[in-house]
Amino acid sequence: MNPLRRVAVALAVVAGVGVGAACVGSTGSPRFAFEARAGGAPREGSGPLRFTNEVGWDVTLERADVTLGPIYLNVVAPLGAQSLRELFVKTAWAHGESHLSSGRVVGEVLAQVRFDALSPSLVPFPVVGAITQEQVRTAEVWFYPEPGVSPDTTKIDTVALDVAGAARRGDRAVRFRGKLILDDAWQRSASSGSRGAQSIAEIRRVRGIASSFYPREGGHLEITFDVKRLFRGADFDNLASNPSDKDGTKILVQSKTGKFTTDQVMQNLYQGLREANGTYAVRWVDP
Amino acid sequence: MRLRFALALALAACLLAGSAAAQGGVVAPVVVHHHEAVYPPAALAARQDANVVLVVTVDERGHVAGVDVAESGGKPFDDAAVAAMRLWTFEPATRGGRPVAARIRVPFHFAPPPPDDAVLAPAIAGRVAAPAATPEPAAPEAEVAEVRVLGRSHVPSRGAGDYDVPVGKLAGVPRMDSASLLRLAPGVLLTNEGGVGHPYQIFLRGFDAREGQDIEFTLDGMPVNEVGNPHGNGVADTHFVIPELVTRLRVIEGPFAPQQGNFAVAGSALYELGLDRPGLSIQGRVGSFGTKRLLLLYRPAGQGERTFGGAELFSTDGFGENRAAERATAMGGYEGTLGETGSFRVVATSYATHYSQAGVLRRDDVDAGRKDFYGTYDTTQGGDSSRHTVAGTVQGKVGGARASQSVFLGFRDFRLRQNFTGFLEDPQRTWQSVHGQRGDLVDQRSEQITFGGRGSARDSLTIAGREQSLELAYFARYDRVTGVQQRDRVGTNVPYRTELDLESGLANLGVYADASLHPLPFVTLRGGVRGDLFHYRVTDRCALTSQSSFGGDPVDTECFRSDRLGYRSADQTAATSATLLQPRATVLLGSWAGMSLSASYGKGARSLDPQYVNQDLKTPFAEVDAMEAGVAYVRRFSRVDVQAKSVFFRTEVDKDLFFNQTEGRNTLADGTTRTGWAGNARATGAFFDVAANLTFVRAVFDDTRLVIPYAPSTVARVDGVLFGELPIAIRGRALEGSLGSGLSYVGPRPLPLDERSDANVLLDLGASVKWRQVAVGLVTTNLLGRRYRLGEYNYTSDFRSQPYPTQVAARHFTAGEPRAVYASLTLTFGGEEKPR
Repeated sequence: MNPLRRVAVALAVVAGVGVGAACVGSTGSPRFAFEARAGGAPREGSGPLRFTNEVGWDVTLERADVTLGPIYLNVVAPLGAQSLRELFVKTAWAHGESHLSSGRVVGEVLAQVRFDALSPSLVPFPVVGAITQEQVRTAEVWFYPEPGVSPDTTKIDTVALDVAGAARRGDRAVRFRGKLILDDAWQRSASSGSRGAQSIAEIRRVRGIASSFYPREGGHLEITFDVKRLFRGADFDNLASNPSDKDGTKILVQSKTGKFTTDQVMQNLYQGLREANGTYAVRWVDP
Repeated sequence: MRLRFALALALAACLLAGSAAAQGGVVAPVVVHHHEAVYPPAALAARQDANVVLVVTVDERGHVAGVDVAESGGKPFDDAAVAAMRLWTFEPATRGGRPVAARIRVPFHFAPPPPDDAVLAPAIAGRVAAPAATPEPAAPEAEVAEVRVLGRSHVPSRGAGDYDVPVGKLAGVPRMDSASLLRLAPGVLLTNEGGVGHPYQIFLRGFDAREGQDIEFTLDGMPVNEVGNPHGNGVADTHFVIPELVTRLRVIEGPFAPQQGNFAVAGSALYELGLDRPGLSIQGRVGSFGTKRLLLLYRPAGQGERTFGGAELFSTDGFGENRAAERATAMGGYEGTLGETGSFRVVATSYATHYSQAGVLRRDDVDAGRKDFYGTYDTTQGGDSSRHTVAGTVQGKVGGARASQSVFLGFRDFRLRQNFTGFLEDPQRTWQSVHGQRGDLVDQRSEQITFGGRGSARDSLTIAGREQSLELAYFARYDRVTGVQQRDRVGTNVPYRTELDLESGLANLGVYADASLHPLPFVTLRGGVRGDLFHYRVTDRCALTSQSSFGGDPVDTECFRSDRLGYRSADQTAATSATLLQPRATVLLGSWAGMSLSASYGKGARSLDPQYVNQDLKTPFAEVDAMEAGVAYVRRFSRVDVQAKSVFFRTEVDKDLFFNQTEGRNTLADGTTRTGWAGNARATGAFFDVAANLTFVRAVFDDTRLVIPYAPSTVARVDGVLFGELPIAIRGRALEGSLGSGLSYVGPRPLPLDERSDANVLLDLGASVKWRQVAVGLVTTNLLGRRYRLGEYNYTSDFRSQPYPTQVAARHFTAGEPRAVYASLTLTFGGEEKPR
């Protein structure tokens, strides 16, 4: 074999070995699309939802429409999750929401969906979501303005919750209706820069919803909304001074008078809507 | 094994033909292209010197028509000299301005591999005879003049991963800047998310070296890497180098030579400056996207190639939105002699640039038509920088040893504004006024003064008839750096947050011993040990950037002055130092019929980024262990030189660096390992020069075994040039033509979250025609007109282009340049002997 040919053969051999050595591997979890659905919490039957809240009101909900989205799925653990170590060594948390590590979002559904929270039927989001195959520990439900509107906008008309119904406690009966909009009515009038000051975008986010699952391709995401949680502490006597319709239906109001709205029922709805523990249940359904 | 020693003496003799006599109106030939002779491998064992004098006939076209040995140095040396001489080309001798055939005498001096390392001692001095021209048919014989010339020794190889690449005719391959020359070495991929003025991102052997942080760059002894730059510790911006002034590039793909210092993790790249032909030339180039370039080059007649001056003025509108750039560069070098054996050299450079950059684009936005492929999200992205350096070297024989001393001084300022993430990195903090996302534009700047020196001494002795040598050397560098990183409000130049504000004094002192031993005729051992001390003193002028629970600072404070114990100063100083010993060794076996084997091992280091310095915490290094084994082949077939190399390598890094898009700079990561193979070949003949290389690499994290993102697993490159006279003559003078092409292939790159980038194939083509003092050229880059993604990434961003804020990692890219055409006109004055 002449020298040139010898070299050519040698190079070919090592190149072949090199191709094998350079075979590509994984760089982490793959990403895939999934469908997401949202609806009311499971219940027997249909029609108006009747329940008694924690302050003794028998509530009959005739309408509870919820508009939520987008949805994010995070790898960060929820605040309530305690390890064995934490039983002995307590974790100190700072005030405000900034203590909640933003973690890493591995899944999202960039759309809003409107559903009837009185019905356990799940409504699919209009677009599919995207997720990487990683352990999800918390979900985030955001109530954002319409597409194209800046999340920093303080004045919006996107209704997060539209409710109507009646409440009775003893001989006291109240019909009510109202719309909850996450606008600057809910921004605290705290001094700029003081602790607890919240941006309008933060008000529209519910973070840290415990939901541990490992997504698999072909599965889908289910979000259920327990509207009863929003009325847990609602005292409808508070609506006495609220404006009424001609038929006497009290209108829930969220406009500011002073620092906060004085509508205790609406306050309950707002707090319940932003409650990470209990209002929402997020789970992954494997194929 | 190709040993190219001392032949520059002969070359320089011809280049310095200013003293060669011209008689009877006859002007002697002038060397256009030289080819270095190979020290005969058969004579290596004896390690003897030899002199050969050739009488060469140069025809009226400048070709070597005949070679006779006038004075023999022994058959192997005679053959080597004749073989090299046949590849030389000349400007023909002239009589009365008309080309004529001529005979000249060319002396060759062969010396065994010098016991030096040209990294530190690039020049030697000696006496040779200048060529004497004897025009035929009846011209009077010219007298032989004694002239003093400078030649350069060549560096001893550090194994198969040591690529010492003379640019030569491959300068005819289209290259728009000096960084592109790196592609002559295997496994190099260049990308750029920042545009024309932004330093290249360099991938080498599976390393994502970002803008040079894992490669030690040196320009004629002057360090290029910028320690403490907030964009990345070790950024190496080579835009200040005029590519036409690079005569040689040496890339060592690993830390295998004791001379390699800080940042030589993936390896090192050494640029040598020079101008290969005398005269004054002016080149104008215009082309696509409003690109204009003016280039001035000058090498005085009678001076060697390392005495030169060059200047460049460049501007472009860019190939898309927000890509305009302009820059100016001036470089000069002077080399002279000191006494009988010494020489000195001074090199100065000055450079300034200002540019806009488009930055990254989300692929989903482009696919949906929301953004143009060549668009941008943020038109305030861009940068500016300047660099001014001077370096000097003296060297010579002192007491029998060859000694060298260099000093360097440099000033550098740098600013870069990039937005990788859009609107993600500005969460509401409790101590801040209520705000929305103000934008993530990272505004980085640094100012740096660098000075230092290096010196070496090498001596040798003969044992068992073979020369053994030892070099002792030092390196010292001090940098005074200020580095600041802020975030600017979207669309403005107004910073709203300071993330980094460092003032650093960084010292690096290194010493090493480098031996070259020949225990057996076919065995060479090279290497030694290098010791480095890094000393850091860093003052963080914004040491506390978040408010403690006990803080009482005013609203919107950035650099806090109170902590849980009460008032504190906003700044804080930390200092630390540590040392590291780095053994490096190479074993070379051979050569046999042009084939030689080698194995190398080396430990290298990268200094710590000043932002990670803690008081007395001894963690100043990222360490790398590298090893390789390979085979090299060098052979001459008739009139063709062939070189080929094949090398397997493995590199382990204990603390790797990776670019973090959210932080806008490199951040530390865990250990990594790279294994792979690289091969290259080059064939050089009288009318062609072709080089090709191919690299495969597998790079993984040590803990998870996941593949390291972004570094390509397959890189291939072919450079080729055809050159010679065309069958067209004007006024009796044939046209000279050159046709060069560069073909690159980069395989799919792994991206985070198991994504893969596109594979890229690019073809550049350039052609030039020269007639006497006039040359015209045409260059087409991306000839295939591919709309390609130069850099691809996968991370989270939110540029408010989606219906709602997006937080899941998505594909991003930077656009590659579309097909572009550039035309040039070059006028050359002088460079030929004037009739006396």
